[in-house]
Formats: sequence, structure tokens, C-alpha cells
Amino acid sequence: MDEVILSIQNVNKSFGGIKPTDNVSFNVKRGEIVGLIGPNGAGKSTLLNLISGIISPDSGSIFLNNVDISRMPAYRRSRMGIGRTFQDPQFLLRSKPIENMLLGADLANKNRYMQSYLGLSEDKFTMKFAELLEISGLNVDMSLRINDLPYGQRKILEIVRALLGNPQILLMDEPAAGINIVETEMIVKLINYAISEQKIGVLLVEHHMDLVMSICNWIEVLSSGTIIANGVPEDVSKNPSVIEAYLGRKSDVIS
Amino acid sequence: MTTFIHFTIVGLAMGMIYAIMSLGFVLLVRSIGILNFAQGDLFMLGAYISYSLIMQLNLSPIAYIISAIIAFAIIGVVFMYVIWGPVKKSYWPQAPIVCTIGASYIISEACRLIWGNAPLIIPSTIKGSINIGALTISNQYIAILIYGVLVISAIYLLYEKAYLGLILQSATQDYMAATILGVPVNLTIAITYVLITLMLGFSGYLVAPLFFVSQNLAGFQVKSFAGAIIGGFGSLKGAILGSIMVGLIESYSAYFTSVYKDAFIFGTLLIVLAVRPNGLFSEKNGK
Amino acid sequence: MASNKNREILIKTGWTALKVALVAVVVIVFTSKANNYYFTIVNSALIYVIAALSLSLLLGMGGMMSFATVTFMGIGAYATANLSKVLHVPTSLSILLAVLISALIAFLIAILLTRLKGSYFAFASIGLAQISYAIFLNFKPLTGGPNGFSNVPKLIIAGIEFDNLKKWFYLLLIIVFLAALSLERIRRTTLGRSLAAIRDNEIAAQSLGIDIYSTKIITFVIASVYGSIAGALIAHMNTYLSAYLFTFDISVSFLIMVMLGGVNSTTGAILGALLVTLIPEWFRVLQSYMKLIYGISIVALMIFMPSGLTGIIDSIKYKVDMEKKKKRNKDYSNG
Repeated sequence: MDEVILSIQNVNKSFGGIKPTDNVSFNVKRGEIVGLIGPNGAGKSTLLNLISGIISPDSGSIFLNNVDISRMPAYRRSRMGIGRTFQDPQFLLRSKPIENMLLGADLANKNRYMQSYLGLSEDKFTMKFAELLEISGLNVDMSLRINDLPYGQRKILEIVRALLGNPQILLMDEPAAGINIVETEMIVKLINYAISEQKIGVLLVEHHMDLVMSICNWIEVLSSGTIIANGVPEDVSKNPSVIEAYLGRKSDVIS
Repeated sequence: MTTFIHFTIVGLAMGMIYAIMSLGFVLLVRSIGILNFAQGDLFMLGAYISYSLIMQLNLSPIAYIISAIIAFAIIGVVFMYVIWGPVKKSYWPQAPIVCTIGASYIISEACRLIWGNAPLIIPSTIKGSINIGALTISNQYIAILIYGVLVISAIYLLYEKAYLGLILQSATQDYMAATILGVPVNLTIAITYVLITLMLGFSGYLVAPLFFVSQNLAGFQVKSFAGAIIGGFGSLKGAILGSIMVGLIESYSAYFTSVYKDAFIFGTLLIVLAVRPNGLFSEKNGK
Repeated sequence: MASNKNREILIKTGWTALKVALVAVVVIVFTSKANNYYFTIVNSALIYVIAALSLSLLLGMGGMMSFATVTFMGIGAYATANLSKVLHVPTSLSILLAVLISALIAFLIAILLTRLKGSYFAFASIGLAQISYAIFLNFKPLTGGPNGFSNVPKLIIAGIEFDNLKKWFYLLLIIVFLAALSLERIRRTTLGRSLAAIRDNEIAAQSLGIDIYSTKIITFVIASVYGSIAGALIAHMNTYLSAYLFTFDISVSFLIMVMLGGVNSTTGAILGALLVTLIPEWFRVLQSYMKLIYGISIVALMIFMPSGLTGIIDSIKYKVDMEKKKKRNKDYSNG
């Protein structure tokens, strides 16, 4: 359980005059939930984009299970096990939930197009999907198109879809933003299931400090592109430079 | 040698026409985000209208220019409101483009029904021709060259260098931001459309003495598209240079074969796409 | 739970049986009263259905607007014509080879074209259609040049020679049915879903492991297969090929067909193809105004019905379902 799934090493990224990622390094282990926090504009989303492959680092390396994925295109990283949820859930809005979920299951299947044409058994998927829904406690009207579903349900469904893809690590971009307590609970249940049953690692970008402090095993604090502190939640929450980073700007929520 | 000069002048002149068409094209893409399949038909319509104004109404040059400007401007505004306006917010990104295809059919059929099938004749702007050694070249090509240089430089300076140009393009960059910033978006779009129909209309008039006023004029569109892609869609410079290249290629290849001219051009297109998908003169090359 | 599912299956089978019976009745009535002229029209319509399916795959499922369907129709047509007439290859084999040749060319072209973004891809496809037309019209050795290619051998499958239009009608019905079936099958596979993702949300597609570039290439090749089959059938049915069969205007008509019927629906493609081919026949009187009406219809279609006939039916069904739900919820909360 101490195996490192994701390793970021000395990653740098600049855009014109801005440097959202400045020599960032950390690891995520299997079975571990690492929180990535920091004030707005610290570069957290950029970092997630660098890891999932939407943008490429200027220098430094990213390793997934000891494989260097730094130069791989996004889709290959997804196939290798990087799961991702977005701040604004990315769906095929005019399709129904089942079609979107099947896309998640497609990711988990290795022989893609030909095998699927010849008849892929969708029973495994149906069971898994039902199981995940039950674990979270989510009730979704499957006959509605995605864009007719409430925001909270979409956020949870995106996590379910990512888990259906059997990821090695799940990158989560503010999953609790904009949802209520009940829905947040559902997300926590899914994350815990993923950690214990699917044996993955989670990198959680969040502003909800309650959530972060309660479920994360380890926290990295990002400010102006650099890691200014890291450690277990109790230590980080008392760290003066962390507090200053938050209080020194228009801050969000501190527990 | 004189043959070479001859074909070069012809090629440059035609290239200018293609460049004007692709400019209009790229401008619409950059200002409004649509591909206008009716470019060639607007060009052809300009020729037909000019025919009516000059040959049927017998207007003097000044009167013609003024009425043509008014006519083309009206067409531009009508086009914007009828063809683009209703579909600009459509869920299907293809909708505006398909609408312009419909517009293309409407315009070309309307021309056919109004003016008939037979090719019509307009006299040259500058009568006579120049002699270069053994070869004769119609003065019309010179007129086209002059027009081309003026219009292309004017548009290029306006859109690339002038602040006004930035405003005119703001609607595509960010429609909402432009509106919030007080840019009269509909007006800027209308201006773009009108400028384009003006450019195209007069181009049609200039080309008519050489090619007759007929349905064939709409065929210019495809080569100007090729020019825009070859040169690089992203930039005006690319569209201009690419189209001039197409004009030259077409002209030189006419020396060897009259039938496969088109194949030469599109063959070049495919090669360029293979080697430099962003266009030869584009700023961004690589991925 | 189980009885619900059984009921569902029963209802579905009932509907399908009804539809098949309806089609059968139409077919029988038609074939008993029809003459050669009718068959010519209907057969063309059926072949165009196959071409429309090609575009439905590219545009409806993948969001790629292409005007190059005619290119691959032409390649399929001239390839099978040359193979069977000049090289005396048996027609069933020559069609197969023609499709393979077309697929290979499609593959090479796709590598170039699919790198382009949506609209630029559309233009390149126009360029392609223009090149292919120029070649079909002028390259005498393979296409007969402006005079066309005549005396294409008749189609012979398993000893049956297809020498009259009635036989072709039945054959085409079967082929169209199989083509539609295979397209529907694709829709329900990983490929179909991947295309939907590429069409609707590229970010989601990438994070779901979809290789956008390769998928587009594969789709382009598959679409070319449908197209070249249509072309090959034209060759053996008409036994004469002319470049005028493969013009840009024809490509545009395919676009109208799928948009009219509903761009993301197999039934829509079939419906659209039949309507667009048959309606002009019913309104022969307006022949000279046809193109103008065409143009106006296109604009009206885009403004009022961009999702096509099947799209509108789907929207209505969906809204009705939602209304029913709302009413049910209201009843629950009131009751």
C-alpha cells in the first residue's frame, strides 16, 4: 500500500509572463488521498491539466507507475490510468446518462472498436454502474438528458464515470464546489470506495477545507505556482505560511 | 521571356481576385465565425448587377459607382439578416454554413431566372491593351491589378493594424465581452458584411469583361478557398499570399495544359496539407 | 422487475414487426404496379440512401462535415467498371476490390485531412470533390473522359444476372437494409460512442481515452466504404458512368438529405434520401424552379428545423415524457 502511483518531479510551466507551475514536486501513493490546496490563482487547475495531459510541461517529469508520461498525449494518459473530473462536469449534454457512463466503461476495455462491434458484454458494466450508484446513494432519472439533470447529480455522475474507467489515480478538480451537504457525503462515499475497493490514489483539489481536512491523508499547499508547505492535515492547518497565503489575499474558506 | 511576363501578370491579376475573395472569406470566419459558401455567388451577382447598371441603364461611370455601392451594401445587409441572422445561435454549428449553401443556390438561380442563361458582355474598364514584345495583354488585367493592390492593402491595414479593425473582429473573439464593452456588435458585423459584398461586387465587375457575365463566375470561389487554405487560414497575410500563389499556379499551368489546371491547384492543396497543415505562410507551424 | 422487461421486449418486437409489415406491403403494392421509370427513380433513391448513410456516419455521428462522398462513390464506380470490363474480373469480386481500393485511398487522404479543424476539413473535402470531379471528367484512360464510360458488365451474384431494374430493386432493398443495420450497430458500439464524444465534447473525449485523430481516420475510411459501395452499384446498374454523377452539387444534395431527415439518425438518413430524391419527381412541373426552391428550402430547414424530421419527433417525444413526469410528480406531492 506504499507504492507510489503518481510522481511529479520538478515540473515547470510558463505562459508568457505568468508561471503557474514553478518547480513542483510531490507523490501520490496507492490508497492515499492527497489534497492540493491553495488560494485562487495558485495554479492548481494548471497542475491537474499538466498531469492529465491537456498541456505539456516546459521541463520536469511526470511518472505514472514509474512510466514517464510527461510527453504523452492526454488520451494515452487516460488509457494508462489517469482518471479526471472537472470543475465544470464535461459531458455529452444532449445524451442520456447511460451513454455517458458507457464511455467510462469503454475506457476500461482494452480491445476497443473491433471487439465492441462484435459484441461486448455490457452486463459487467451494468452491474458495476448499479453498484456505484448504490454506494453513493444517488438516485438519477436515467431518462433525462444530462443537461436536464441538476448540477449536483452531474458532478457525482462524473465521478462514477471516471471510476467505471478503472483508473489508477483519480484527479479531482473541486468536486464539492456548488453542491450541498448530502451530495458531498455521496462523493465522500465514492472516494472511500475507490480507495478501499478499487485501490487507487486520489489527488483532490478543493477549497472546502472541512472536506479536505477530514478525508485527506496528506496535503500539498500550492501558492503562486510553488509548493509552500506540505504534511498531514493537522500540521498544515497550523502552518503560519499557509495561513498567511490564504489570509493575505481574497481568501475562501479556512476551517 | 515575354510569355513568362504575360502569364505572370495574368496570374497576379487573377491571384488578386482570388485574394479578395479569400479575404472576404477569412474575414467572415474571423469576425463572425462562419464559412460563407456564397462568396462566389455574391461575386457573380456583382457582375450581373454591374451589367444591368452599365449596359441596361446606361449609367455614367460616377453614377454607376454610386449606385453599385448602394446596391452592394444593401445586398450585404440583406444577406446578413436573412441568411446569417436567424441561425447564428443555432445548436448545430453546421447550420449557418448550410444556410450559406442555400443562399448560394438562391442567388445563382435568381441570377439565372432574371438574366437568363446566355453569357453577357461588359466592356472593359480601361479599353485597349498593352503590348509587351510579341504578346498582347488586355488593359483589364492592369485595372484588376490596381484595384487588387488598393483593396487588399486597405483591408489588410484596416484589420491588421488599425484599432477599428480590432473592434470589427471582436465579435468572434468574445461575443459577450464585446457587447459588454459597448461595442455595437451588430453594427460591426454589418460593416464587415457590407465591406465584403462591396469588395466582391466590384471584383465581379472587373473580371466580367474578361470572362463574360455568366454562371461560371461562381467557380472562382473554390480556387480562392484553396488559396486561403494553402496560405494559411489563420491570417489575412496567409490568405492573400496563398491566393496569389494559386493565381500564379493556375496561370503557369495553363501554359502546359488547359484541362487539368484545376487538378494542379488542388494537387498543390493536398501537398501543402500534407506538409504544412496550417498553411505555408501561417504564423503557427508545427502542431 | 422481470415482467417489466418482458413487456418492454414484447412492445419493441411488436413495433418492429409492424414496421416491417408496413414496408412489405408498400413493396408488394409498388412492385406490382410499377414500370421501368418508377424503378429507375426508386433504385436511384435507394443507392442514394447508402450514400446518405455514409454522410450520416461522418457528420451525424462524428460531427465531420464532408463533401467528398462523391469522390469515393466515383472511385468505387470507376474501379469496379475498369476491373470488370477491362480486366474481366467477375463483378462480385470487382466490387469488393473497388471498395478496398477506395478504402486505401480514403485512408491516405484521411491521414492528411483529419488533422484539420472542422470547417477547414469541410473545405478540404470540397477541394477533394473538385479534384476527383476534374479527374473523372478528363482522365480518358480510366474514365472515358467527357464521353463517359460505357458497357460496364452487368452484375452477377451467385449465378443470378441482374439485368433488369426489378431485380435491382430487390437487391438494393436487401443491401440498404444491411447497410442501415450495420450503421445502427456501429452507433451502439465503442466507436459510435467515441464519435459522439468527439462530436460533442473533445475534452471529455480525451479524458476518456479516445484517440481523436485515429478515430476520425477510421470513421472516414468506413464512410468511404459505404460511398464506394454506392458508386459500384451505380456502375453495374446503369452500365454507364458519367462524371456528372459525381459532382459537388450531388454532395450538397446528400447534405440536404441528412439534414432534412435528421443528421444523427439512420432512419433520418433513409427518410431524407427518399424524400429528396422522390419529391422533385412528384413536382416535375416546377422543374425550372427546382434549384431555387432547393435553396430556399435549405435556408428554411436550417432556420426552423436544423435537427431534421427525426430530430423534431425526438424532441416532441422527450418533451411529452418530461411533461408526463412533471404531472406525475405533482400528483404525488398533492396526493
